Amino acid sequence: MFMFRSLSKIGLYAVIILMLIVPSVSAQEQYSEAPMLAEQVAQGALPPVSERLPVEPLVVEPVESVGVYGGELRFADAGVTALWSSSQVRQSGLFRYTQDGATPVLDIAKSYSFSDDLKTFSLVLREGHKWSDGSPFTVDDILFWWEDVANNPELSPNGPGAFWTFDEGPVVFEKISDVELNINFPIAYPIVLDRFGRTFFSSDTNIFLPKHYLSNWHPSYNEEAAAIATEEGFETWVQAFQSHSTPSRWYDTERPWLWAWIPQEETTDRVVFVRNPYYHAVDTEGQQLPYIDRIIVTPVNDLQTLTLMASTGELDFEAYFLGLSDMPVLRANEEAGNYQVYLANSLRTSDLALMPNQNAADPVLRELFQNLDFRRAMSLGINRERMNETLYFGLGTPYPGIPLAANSYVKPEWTTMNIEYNVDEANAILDSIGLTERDSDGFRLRSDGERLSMVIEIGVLEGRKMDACQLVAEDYVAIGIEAICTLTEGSLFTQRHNANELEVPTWHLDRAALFGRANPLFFGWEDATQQRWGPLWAQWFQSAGAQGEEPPQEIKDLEELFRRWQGTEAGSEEFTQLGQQYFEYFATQLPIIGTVGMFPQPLVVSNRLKNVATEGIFWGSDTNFYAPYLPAQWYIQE
Amino acid sequence: MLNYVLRRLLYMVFTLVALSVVVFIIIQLPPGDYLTTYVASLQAQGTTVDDQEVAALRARYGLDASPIEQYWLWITNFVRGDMGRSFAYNRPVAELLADRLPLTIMLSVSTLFFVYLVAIPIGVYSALRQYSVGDYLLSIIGFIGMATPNFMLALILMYFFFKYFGISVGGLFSSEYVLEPWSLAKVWDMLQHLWVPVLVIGTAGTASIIRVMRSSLLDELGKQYVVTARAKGLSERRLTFKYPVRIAINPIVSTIGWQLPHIVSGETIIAIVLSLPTTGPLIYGALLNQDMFLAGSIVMMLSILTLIGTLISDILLVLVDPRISFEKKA
Amino acid sequence: MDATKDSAQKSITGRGTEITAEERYYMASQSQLMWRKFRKHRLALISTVFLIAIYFLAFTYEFWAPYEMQTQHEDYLTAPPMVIRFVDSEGNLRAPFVYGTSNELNMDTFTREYVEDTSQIYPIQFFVRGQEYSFWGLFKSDLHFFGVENSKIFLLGTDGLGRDLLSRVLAGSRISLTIGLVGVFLAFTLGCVLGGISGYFGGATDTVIQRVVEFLISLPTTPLWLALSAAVPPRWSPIQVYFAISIILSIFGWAGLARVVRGKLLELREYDYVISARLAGGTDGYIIFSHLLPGFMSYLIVHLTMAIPGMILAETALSFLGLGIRAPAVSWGTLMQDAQNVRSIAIHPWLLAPGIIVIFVVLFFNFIGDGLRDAADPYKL
Repeated sequence: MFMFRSLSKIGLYAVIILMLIVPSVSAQEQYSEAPMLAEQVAQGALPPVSERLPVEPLVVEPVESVGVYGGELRFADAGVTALWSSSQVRQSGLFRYTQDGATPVLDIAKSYSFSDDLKTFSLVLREGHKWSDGSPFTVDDILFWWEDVANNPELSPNGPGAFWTFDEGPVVFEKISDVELNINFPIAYPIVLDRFGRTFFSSDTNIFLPKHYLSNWHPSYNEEAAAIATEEGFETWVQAFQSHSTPSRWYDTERPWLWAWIPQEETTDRVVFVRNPYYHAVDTEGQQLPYIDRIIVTPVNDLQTLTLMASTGELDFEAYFLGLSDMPVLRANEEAGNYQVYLANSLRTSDLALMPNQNAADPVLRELFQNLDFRRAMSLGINRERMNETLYFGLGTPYPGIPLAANSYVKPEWTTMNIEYNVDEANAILDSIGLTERDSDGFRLRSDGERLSMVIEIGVLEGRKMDACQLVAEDYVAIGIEAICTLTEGSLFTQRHNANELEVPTWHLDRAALFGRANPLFFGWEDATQQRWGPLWAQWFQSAGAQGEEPPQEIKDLEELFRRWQGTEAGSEEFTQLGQQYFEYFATQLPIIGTVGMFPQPLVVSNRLKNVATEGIFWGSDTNFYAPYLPAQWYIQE
Repeated sequence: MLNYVLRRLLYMVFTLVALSVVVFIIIQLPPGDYLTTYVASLQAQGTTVDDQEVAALRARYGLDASPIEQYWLWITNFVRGDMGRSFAYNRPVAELLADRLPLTIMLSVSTLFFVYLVAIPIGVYSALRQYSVGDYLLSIIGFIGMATPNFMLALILMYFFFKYFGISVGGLFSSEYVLEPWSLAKVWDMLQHLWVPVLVIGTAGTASIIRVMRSSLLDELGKQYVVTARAKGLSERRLTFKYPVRIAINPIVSTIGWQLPHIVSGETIIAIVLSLPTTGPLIYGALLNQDMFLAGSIVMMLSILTLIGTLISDILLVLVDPRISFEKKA
Repeated sequence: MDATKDSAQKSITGRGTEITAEERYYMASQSQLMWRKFRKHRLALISTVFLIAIYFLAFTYEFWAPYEMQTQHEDYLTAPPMVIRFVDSEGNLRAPFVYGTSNELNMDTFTREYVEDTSQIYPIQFFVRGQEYSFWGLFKSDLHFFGVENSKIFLLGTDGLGRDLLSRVLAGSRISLTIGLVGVFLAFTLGCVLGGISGYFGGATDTVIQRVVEFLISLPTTPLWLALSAAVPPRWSPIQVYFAISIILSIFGWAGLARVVRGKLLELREYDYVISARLAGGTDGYIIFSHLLPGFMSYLIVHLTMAIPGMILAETALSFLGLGIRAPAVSWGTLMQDAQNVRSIAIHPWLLAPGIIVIFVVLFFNFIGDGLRDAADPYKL
């Protein structure tokens, strides 16, 4: 469906990126600002724009044209953590991925480099960069996160987390100056850039925090912290601190932010975000971004309402809550709603990926799921072409449970292995492993005489998983397997996963591109709460053998291989080789059974919203959704 | 009478205590707590949360405590007027309720008025003109309203209102008025949006009240005193409205109390579909999130309001129908 | 229990020795009288006929449905309802038939466009052999009421997976029409008994029951359903889930009825005939069941017939909240849930058919309730 730019060595592309950013040495008077800010400057409420911007602001080349100031972005948000989607529109991190999804580029960070041994990551911030309250943003804000939060025994009782923890020794954050920082890892650790590229991981709360503001609630800086917490109605300083450092829904009007829009006010049915007067980027003409004055978010409870709003042109931009199945409605109303629908490439290799739980509580199912032949029959028994035609307008690609073909470590021949629809062979395989007896309804009987039945559980209702599962269930009737599709959304799914009650959990296969390496989920071993096909094994690894179940040698070798691969430099020969060895397992042993993926994602963009990239674009968790679109350079023109 | 009211108020206190326990149990029934939901939703969006972070958050929210301790904390604070903080909104529950409860009450009361204003005259008409074309027609319209599932009606109405009248979808205000201070224009804008939910929520209740009104009035009209009055030559109008209608209203008045929870329940579903800024979506979200202080406090508040509604309807019952005596015992 | 009122009336009116038409009227038994009265209510009568027919279809749906409800006809995705025709394109009158259709996916509008091919004529055949089904698990058969040869027929269209909507609606009727009857029955019994006791005895009994009722009534049901939906064990079969919930609903549902019964009784117990019965030494049970209950029978009947469609609607609401019957089982609620989206309303309106059928069934029940109400009061003209 799409091609990645081949990934060159990190050092090389860092240089290219540096060249792309034109250092702005022009006179400070050249910067201009939005009328609403100019007014405040005239009243003396704000310092002039040249004092608010960093010495060298990020210069952004607009997608189409230099924009005009003003207007309100109409947006909607839905779901449990309402305001998540809008927080992604507002978010800025040290880095973000480019529009084609290929490389991480600088954002808050001014530059970076790796030492030759790849053990030290050097980061340079922008001099004069300020928080939304005008206080300077410096390396101290990163150190504050590292020393006083991530390594504070009360705030983080178990330390800074798996990504930052090594058997070989501790990570050392070394302050060189107010804008320079070295992060020294005990091993070669190039994937730190992969991780930072996902804006979420290199942004507020995950890598830096406003020290000057939060010190007030931290006992290392304020002896009154405990008293203040009590006064504010919290039981401990920890609660008070966290409530201010990571406000829920990213909504806190007091707290300083670095993001393009900051919380302004909340009415009963709208939430308003207003531009950050200290945002660190300008366009090529020196106009401070963002162009758009405000984001007006309508919280919506029913997704159909959101679709309806999008299709009636009441939103300026929407993608996250839409799906391919909404296309007929979206297309039919394009003109009346004064918007256009674009299709972005998806980074998912499967919408519905089956992950037979090889540690399933039911011993018979466990044995079957651990049997490669059985898993092959499960894969051959799915009619992926029909699924593609029925559910995805034929726009998807039948694909096995492996990462994207564009990754250097994915061999082309893997992409078609074991995904053909072959009922006869599937039946022959099932017969050959002794599942020959059948009941009166034609379903096979297990070794204990029970009907061979499995519960396929859908943990998230994105895409068309329920319909896809119904198709699989129908296909499985032909090979004598009863599949029951159930929707176990949200917390219950997590709960059942943790209790190891899932039989065939499912999820979409994203984080399947190179930049998913830092957070590989189903393909990795770091996070036992999201490793679905061998959860007890993952628990065993994560707890160093204290919990879960000891895996067989084969799996131990696999995990060892994974760790070695994580330590290689992206794009290197070793990286490709070890990656091939590691994913050979997924291609040939089928722990994850893929179905159909890489079908496009609709984006609704109103005709009055400009500078939205629509060519060669991606949409997905891998590139952090909105970040590559850089909403700060969007503008509104009626 | 005063005695009766006081006694009822005393009972209400006991009811509330029992209610608070049940409410809390119901909220605690689903497995997991706010954090499992929170983590699950973050996972669905493609981010991860460390176990450590979860543990820290659990401590922060006080979810480590036993259910009994949590209950005690919640209820003692509730009595003191402190409804706790919402996890999901990170705002005091009282603040959230203050935002939304007035609109909920307004919507419920409007709906209640709508239901009674429409239903009682129709019921009376249907009873007086039993088996007439009008009776049939009104019955059918009423029944169709009742028979249509609310949530579906809401979505269909919303679609067609936008398509043919350009009335914006969802919410109680058009976007241009959201940030405006209250003004006549804003009130007018709100009324334009208000009547759709009132209609949708109201249709369900209307038909049943028409039926009840019609049947009690028919019962009443068949009684001896009416026949006697008619025989004595009383005008048909006085004959009907002097006593039978007043008496037939009795069962309807006695149902005001339990119309309220129906309206509140209906309102919850409709407000979800129409995205109304009432307590409906708030409670839906809170229960899904297991945002327990928020969920618990809303259910308690709504229940208290309903209890007050019931009390009022019982008092009305005594006032409307003097034949009922509470002091006499069989 | 009807006899009392009957004989009471008789003692007033039936004195003559000659049986006149008028007297026959007064001497007819209660059920005869009710039937006579009920017949007058046209809508109720028609509704009864329809409802009986619908229940019959539901119990034998395998025969009436042209296809198995889960079968996915992959060449007929989101096909609009086919039109039964009697006149072909050349103006000839024929036995009922449908045209063959072909469809193409329009990648501009993302919709499938169906065209009728007037050269392909498929007569509708009756009592045809088709897909095999198991009738109530008793015997297997492949006899279907109707179908077409060498083509397909979808009178209500198909859904997104190409499943015949008519077959699914018929299959769903079995669950939707039968489920909840238990709940209604339970709620009705509890409501009458406890409401009756409360209203008749008054005093402490009344207080206790009223507190319980008040308590149950003041719980808003929607949040309760929501919470319960998360608490139901996922291992339960869809049917178990629904029955469990409908029983829970009835446990909460009786309270409303109890309140009404009590209100009515408070009024009735002051009546002279009740006082006379008590003075004459009637036991409490006798007075409640023989004198009081018949006194507001009509009211109870209205309530009951409204409770059954209430359950049908409750089922659809449960599905909306994600808590109804789960696939692969099908009910009207799940079908409506499938249609509860903008896509269906704007592009595939035939998917709303289950909603219309629900409306009709609920209407039928209500008309019958109406007719019964009038009939239960047979001496009123």
